[in-house]
Amino acid sequence: MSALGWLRTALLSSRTYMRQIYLLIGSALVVGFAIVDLGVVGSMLSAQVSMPVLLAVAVPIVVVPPVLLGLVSAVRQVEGVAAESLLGVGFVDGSPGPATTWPQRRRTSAWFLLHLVAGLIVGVALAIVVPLGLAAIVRPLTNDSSIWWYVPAGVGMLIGALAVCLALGAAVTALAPRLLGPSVEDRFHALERRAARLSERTRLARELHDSVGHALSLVVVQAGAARKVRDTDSAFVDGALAAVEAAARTALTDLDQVLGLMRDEESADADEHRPVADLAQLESLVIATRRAELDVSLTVEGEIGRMPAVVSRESYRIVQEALTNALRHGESPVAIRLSVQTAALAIEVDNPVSPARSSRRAGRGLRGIQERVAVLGGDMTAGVVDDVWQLRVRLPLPREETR
Amino acid sequence: MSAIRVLLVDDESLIRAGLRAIIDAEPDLDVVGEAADGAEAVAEVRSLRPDVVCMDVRMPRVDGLEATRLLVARAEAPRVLVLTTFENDDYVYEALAAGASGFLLKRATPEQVTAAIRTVHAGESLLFPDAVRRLARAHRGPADQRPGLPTLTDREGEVLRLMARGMSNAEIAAELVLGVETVKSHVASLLNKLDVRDRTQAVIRAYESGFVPLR
Repeated sequence: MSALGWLRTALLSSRTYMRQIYLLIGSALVVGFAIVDLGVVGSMLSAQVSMPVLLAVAVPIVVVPPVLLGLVSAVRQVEGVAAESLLGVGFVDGSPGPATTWPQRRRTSAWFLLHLVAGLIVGVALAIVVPLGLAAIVRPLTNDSSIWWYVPAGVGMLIGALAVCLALGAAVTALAPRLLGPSVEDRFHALERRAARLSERTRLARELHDSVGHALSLVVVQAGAARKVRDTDSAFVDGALAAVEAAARTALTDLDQVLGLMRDEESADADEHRPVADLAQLESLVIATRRAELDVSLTVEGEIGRMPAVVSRESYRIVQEALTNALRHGESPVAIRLSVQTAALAIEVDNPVSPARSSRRAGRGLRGIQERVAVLGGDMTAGVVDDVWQLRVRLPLPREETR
Repeated sequence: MSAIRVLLVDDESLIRAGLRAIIDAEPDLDVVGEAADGAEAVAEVRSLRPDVVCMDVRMPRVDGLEATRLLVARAEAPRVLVLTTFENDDYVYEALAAGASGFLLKRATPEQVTAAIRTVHAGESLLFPDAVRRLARAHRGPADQRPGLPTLTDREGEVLRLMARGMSNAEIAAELVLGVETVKSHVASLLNKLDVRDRTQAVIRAYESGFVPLR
């Protein structure tokens, strides 16, 4: 009953069929290798070499190419993506990247072989056993009823093929994390790095504890003393207040700094810590683009430094995309003009295009710019006028920001 | 009765100035000097002969722990009151074990500061018995490595247990229905047997040996 229930769930789940697709990719790869193998083995058979010689030559020819291919670094990433999307495997430490160590390569190679063998079995089951089974069921029904026992035999073949496919799908899914996921050593190194980070963090926490504790003690002692002598020694009270102020300020600065360090560490972990460029970096962008031998001129009218941060960032990205496009096609000179108007920032980018390209040029590389402009509620036009590609963007500015 | 002579030792001059204002405002307390580290403290104690030294534990050069060891080794040593930012500082317990008579958190109120100096000077009761017990618990060694105690009389044992609870001689006398002088002589005999210089170390020895349970 529960086995039937399991079967029903399995057959209704799209995941089951995705897994079979993964295995069939293995079958397809096997066919590729098999074409080569058959050529070699076939020619040896026709040359009538002895069995030991045949095996000595054929086995390496069959086994070595897949093993070598499995050692290729990128295979780990490809198989990882496939395992995630088709097998539905969730890797604990994120998607496997290209293999970076030999143990990773070896394990990936083993996985690749497993994929091929499982693919071969599923391929045989689906391409040979299933048609045979169907034929066996149909034969007695159409002409010769004396071979009625073909029917149960055929049904058995179908069930067997189904069972093998489901079992292999489940087996490779269970094995994927072990062969493609991080090994014990990978985990160990990751833990080591984590421990180093944690101990650094503990050190920071202790320093913070000391410096803030010191400052607060000073605040308490000075404030207590000031309270005690406030009627008799007003000079001391003045000094105490100044000391309290300074100590609290220092403590806050320390606190800020340590929190900043911790945050830096965190973002370094997540590899997210990239400063977001804005119009302040426009000059450097232009200089960098000139280094790439693109003739760029930049004209700025008005105070682009006093712009809402979001407009500044997005404008930078718009210019960046325009320059990237120009660079891709090597079309110089590029003229960039930014002008701050009463309630808007106008961005104009002009560069000549060769007439041959102008037709398809207009629609290209603009999607990113369009999206940015739309988000900010601006408007834009882009197109070729007299063999010059012209981008005109207008981004609204809040009034007080332009004053 | 003459004022209690206090020496302030802290590397932060603003802490010293604050404590001086708090202490000098009391008629029975008198700050006779200041020192910025343990080495200076030892020299000042020799020339100024204070009754109580308020000693920061963490200081550059010679720290409060080392200075306490140096000070209490001498006869006629002043009482040492350890000043600390955090109670959970390993140095505090070490300083108590080394001979300091008590410790005081820097976040204490002015009233607690002056009361602590008087208590330590009188030497007749344990400062912050609960905190001492907590510290002793945090620093408890494994059961099989606990140092033993010399043989105590039943009376001495009772007195030691009550000392650990922070009772003064007068309170112990009331509890055991004894004369205060009798209690004082028991305490003196205890300190002698345990080879310690004041009741703080006696109580710490009592905890360390397991003679007084930590809970």
